[in-house]
Amino acid sequence: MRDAMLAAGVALMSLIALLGQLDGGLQDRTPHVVLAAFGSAADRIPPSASVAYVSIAADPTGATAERFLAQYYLAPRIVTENWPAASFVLTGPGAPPVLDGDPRLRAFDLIHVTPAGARLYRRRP
Amino acid sequence: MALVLQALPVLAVWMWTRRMTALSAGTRLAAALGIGLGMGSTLLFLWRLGGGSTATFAVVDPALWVVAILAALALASASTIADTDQPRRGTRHPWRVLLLILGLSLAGVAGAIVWTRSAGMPYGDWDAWAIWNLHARFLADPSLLWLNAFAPDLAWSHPDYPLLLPGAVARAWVFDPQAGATVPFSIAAALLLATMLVMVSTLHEHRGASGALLALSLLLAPQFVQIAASQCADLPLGFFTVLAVALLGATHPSAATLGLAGVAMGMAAWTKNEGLVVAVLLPCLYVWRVYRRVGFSAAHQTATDIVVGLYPMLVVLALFKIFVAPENDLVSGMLRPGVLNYWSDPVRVSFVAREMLTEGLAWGGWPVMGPVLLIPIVALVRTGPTQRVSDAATSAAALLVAQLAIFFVIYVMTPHSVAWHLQTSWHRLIAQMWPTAVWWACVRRSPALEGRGAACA
Repeated sequence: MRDAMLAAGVALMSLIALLGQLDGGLQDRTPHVVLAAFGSAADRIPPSASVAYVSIAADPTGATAERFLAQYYLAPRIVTENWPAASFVLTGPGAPPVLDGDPRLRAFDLIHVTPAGARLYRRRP
Repeated sequence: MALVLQALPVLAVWMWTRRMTALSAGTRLAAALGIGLGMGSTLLFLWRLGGGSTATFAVVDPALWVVAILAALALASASTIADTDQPRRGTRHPWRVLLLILGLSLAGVAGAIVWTRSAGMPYGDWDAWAIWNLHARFLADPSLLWLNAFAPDLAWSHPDYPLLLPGAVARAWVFDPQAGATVPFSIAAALLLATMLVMVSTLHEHRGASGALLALSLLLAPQFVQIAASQCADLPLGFFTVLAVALLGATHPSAATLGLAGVAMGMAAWTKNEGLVVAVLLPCLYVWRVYRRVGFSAAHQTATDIVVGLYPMLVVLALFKIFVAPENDLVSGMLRPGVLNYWSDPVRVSFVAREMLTEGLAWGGWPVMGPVLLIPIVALVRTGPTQRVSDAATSAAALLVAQLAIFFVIYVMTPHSVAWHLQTSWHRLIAQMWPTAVWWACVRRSPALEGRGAACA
């Protein structure tokens, strides 16, 4: 009987604790939104390519998340911070056209813009 | 069709364990779910390591598992894998219906939390898509460029982490490339179910219906359920650890049961680097207990039985570490000159101890105190007149203490910011230990448990 009372008490406490978490909990749609924004850009990049990434996110954490998500999206291609080794450059969603004039992109041509505004550049031969 | 293909290794493990009559159906199902996923993952890794493509894997993998299932059927009467002991059945309890209703309610609410959490974060936590599912993307890629996952550019993704979870996800993606985020979510839900199953079924064997309900005190910590839904590898590691401990705690464990426990320990090491502590320490602690209680001969036989299951997984891990993985950032950081001086810094050492203690006691997702405080209460309640602490329960307790000590040492010597390291990982390490801690608390005063060699003790 003591065992059953202990078990019932613990179970009730567990139930109460769990019910308090049923309000939806954490919400983070960032990966969903960013990955969808890249659209079909990867189809234009060979699997063996190295890709540099430009984020337009204001906060450093958001920029890091975008770059990691770009790696998730582009695998098995490698997202690199070594620009001389990159044959393509991908930007985050909502990148403005003025970005085309960025000095880092002088050796690249714009080849695609996704509906969400992610821009893809390819290094000139 | 894809679902059937993904379930083949689970079915194979289920078939191969059906002669282990000392295990309940729930324990077998839990073992089949976890070890089946792990074996499928292992096969994919070995196939890719050998230069195989996903196209050929999609043909060879199902064929191999069908052969394994047919072999299990053909060897149905083989005595070499048969246990002879019948499992201990719980007695019918007058509160059985109430306990059942409570248990089902708990499981239902936990499932709802996992579902809503996954709906809000379909790609899981940061670590899920930045580490585990990223590695799965590489493993599942049809090209032979999967080794790009271990390039120096991706050092931030911890490419030295073992591949059980990424391999399991990747295997499903090989068969159904459009499945996307539903796969890691489904695997997380399946392993949470398996964790609950192994605890409920083994504690039901030892303490009856109320023991089964006590097992659900696993859910006392809502934070554990949230971490389970995060699609990271902490829940799988916690599952394999408690599965190994529970198998060691089977009544008169046979050679096959101990071998299966060895496989579970190996799977723990193949899941996360922390799992290597489980794979090395748990068998040593358990064999030592058997040696102390029964003698050398039984301990030697026990060690042999466990190693038969453990060894192949350690070989797979060694292949990964030697030929694929870069060095671990923590290990290389702790080998730097001057790191030992951290121990002479009382501020640093006391900070780590204080943070581990305070966050540990508050862990669980409760508003005031943490459910960790309930563990000793559950453990100390007397349940019967003939109680005895088993080899498995003692080994589990020693393992938990050793894990705490090792984590403390790592935090003190970490090359990263101590505060950041503790903040981002300590709550997940507790989640890894939580199932084993609950299992130990519920079973340590059980009258039923005996270990290997109990009959001749």
